[in-house]
Amino acid sequence: MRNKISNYLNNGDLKRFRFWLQLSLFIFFVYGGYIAINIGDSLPTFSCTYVDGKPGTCFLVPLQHRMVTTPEKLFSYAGTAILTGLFYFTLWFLVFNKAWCGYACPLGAVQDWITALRKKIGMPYATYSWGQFKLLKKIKYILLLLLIFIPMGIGSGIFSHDMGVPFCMICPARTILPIFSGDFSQLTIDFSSKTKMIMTSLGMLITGIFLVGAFVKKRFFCFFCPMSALHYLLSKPAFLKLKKDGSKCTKCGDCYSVCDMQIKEIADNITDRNILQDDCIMCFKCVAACPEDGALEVDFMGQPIFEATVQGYIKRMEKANKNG
Amino acid sequence: MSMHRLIVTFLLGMLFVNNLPASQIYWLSDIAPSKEQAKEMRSSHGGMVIQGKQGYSKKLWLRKGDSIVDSTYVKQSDVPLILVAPNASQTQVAFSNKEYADITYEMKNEGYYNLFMIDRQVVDGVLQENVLKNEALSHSCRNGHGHVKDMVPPLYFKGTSFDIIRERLPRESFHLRIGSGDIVSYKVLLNGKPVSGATVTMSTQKGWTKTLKTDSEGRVAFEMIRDYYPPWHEFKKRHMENFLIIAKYESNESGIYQGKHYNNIHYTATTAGNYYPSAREYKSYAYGLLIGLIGLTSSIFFIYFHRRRRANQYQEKRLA
Repeated sequence: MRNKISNYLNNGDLKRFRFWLQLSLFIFFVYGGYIAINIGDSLPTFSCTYVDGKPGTCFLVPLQHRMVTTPEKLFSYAGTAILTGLFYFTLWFLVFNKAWCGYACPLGAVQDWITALRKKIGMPYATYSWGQFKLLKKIKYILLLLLIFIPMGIGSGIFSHDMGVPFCMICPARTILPIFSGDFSQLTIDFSSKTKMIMTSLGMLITGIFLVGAFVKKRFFCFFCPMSALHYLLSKPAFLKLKKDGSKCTKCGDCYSVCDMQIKEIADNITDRNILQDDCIMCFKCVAACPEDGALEVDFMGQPIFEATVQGYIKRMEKANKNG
Repeated sequence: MSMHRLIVTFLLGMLFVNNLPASQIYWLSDIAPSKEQAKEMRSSHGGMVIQGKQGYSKKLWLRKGDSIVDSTYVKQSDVPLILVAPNASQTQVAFSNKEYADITYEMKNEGYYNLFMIDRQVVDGVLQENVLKNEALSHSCRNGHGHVKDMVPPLYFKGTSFDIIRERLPRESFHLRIGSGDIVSYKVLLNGKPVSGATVTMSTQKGWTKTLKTDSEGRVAFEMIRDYYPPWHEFKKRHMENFLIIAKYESNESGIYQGKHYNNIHYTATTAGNYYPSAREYKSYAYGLLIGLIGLTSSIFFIYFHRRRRANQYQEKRLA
């Protein structure tokens, strides 16, 4: 029985499963609030607060709000609120790890749909050189630090209150996701102060770049996402894991070639068992594309739930060839 | 204290208080009487608050007059008040009467605090029932926004026979700032039921006044005027103006109150609010789309030329 279930899962069509799960979760995170769903404000994904029908709120919003404080208050009652939020965020996060990015993030789904459109047109996608990759991957950590320290600067009177929620102001989720519920109000420039004008202009400029970037580069924005950086800091104890058995790896490079995030380690690293990297979105396309039995596997609390197998690989390839 | 006990205590207490002088309009205001007192207050979602270490407090002053400009601050009043917290708990409170008849209460919970002052007296055979109401919002973004939606609807208070309720706007949230051009509607209730034909007057801080009568559903709707025209460099989107609402209704009911016979009841309810410049004055779709388009087209050109440069074959240069 156990073998039957694992065979069924290992031979499964991950692409189809992922498409439907992403679509369902997109509908949930954009319209769930309309049916009175409320799952809190510590979600480890872009359940954008600017979307009217959100069923919960992205953790980065309360984090930025709560960091608007003075260093003294940070070590008193304000710190308690931050730690409470972080506690709930960690609880959500521990279950699904970075699969929040690969399966649940509505902005991630939008990027995947833009990629599907590009594929349909037949336009080649872009990749970063190794040098660019190493340099650009640092941006998400810089953004994470900024979204913590700028609000602290507001609390200390260094920056204007108009700088509030600085990351949200430049996040394409703020401008794009509300459109799906008919709200175009985030596509405006706010001329009420210089700070607001600069921040909203930056937001719209990044939105324009995002649309083209996501068209030519798979998961363009995820590479710069501070939520992804925050995820990685907490990913070690998470229940869902991506594991690699280096002794079974032939370094064929299939996993690397299907990786939307261009993670080289997935193919090159044959020593680490836990292969999760900071840029990984846990889409598990690498596991589905691996032709070696047990070289890559997805574990949940130590139990393998999806494993690379020769049989599964052949089945998926046959289906892909059949579909052209 | 249970609601019924509180209301009975409140009504019994009213037998022994000195009523406010009749034939005057009274209202509760969060506008400080002096610059010194205004300094301890700051603007928050929903109006002026005092920021303490444990959270926000609301300070209100009893004022006399039918317009914001001409209203004076009352020095003393011992008419009791009822404070209804967002969790529906009710407490009886009183004015401090130190320098003015003012009241300060802590807003420990998120949501709307409703303060009521009910003054009843029979003057010349007319029962004058004055209801002073203040609805104050307590919200800090630090507490998140997931809980907000359920707390937006207004309070329908059973402790007063005459009430005026601000109906919520379709886009209402704890971040709402009523702006010029918004339609703000009020519902007037008598014994919990909408009353038609009541007179409702709105007067703004700058003296604009409009009087309407409630329709069959007890509703009046005011379109907020635009009265803020500073030079552009001085424009502040958080520029707040106050308005006063006075609802009046006369009924020919007769009866006895505190041993005095009356043939009519004159109901008056007052409440206040504030409004800001409309977002349409400082937000631009045209510039937003233009900047978005600049980002979009410059990215397209960048990628096009980058790919073209890479696609160009190496060509050997000839010197001659």
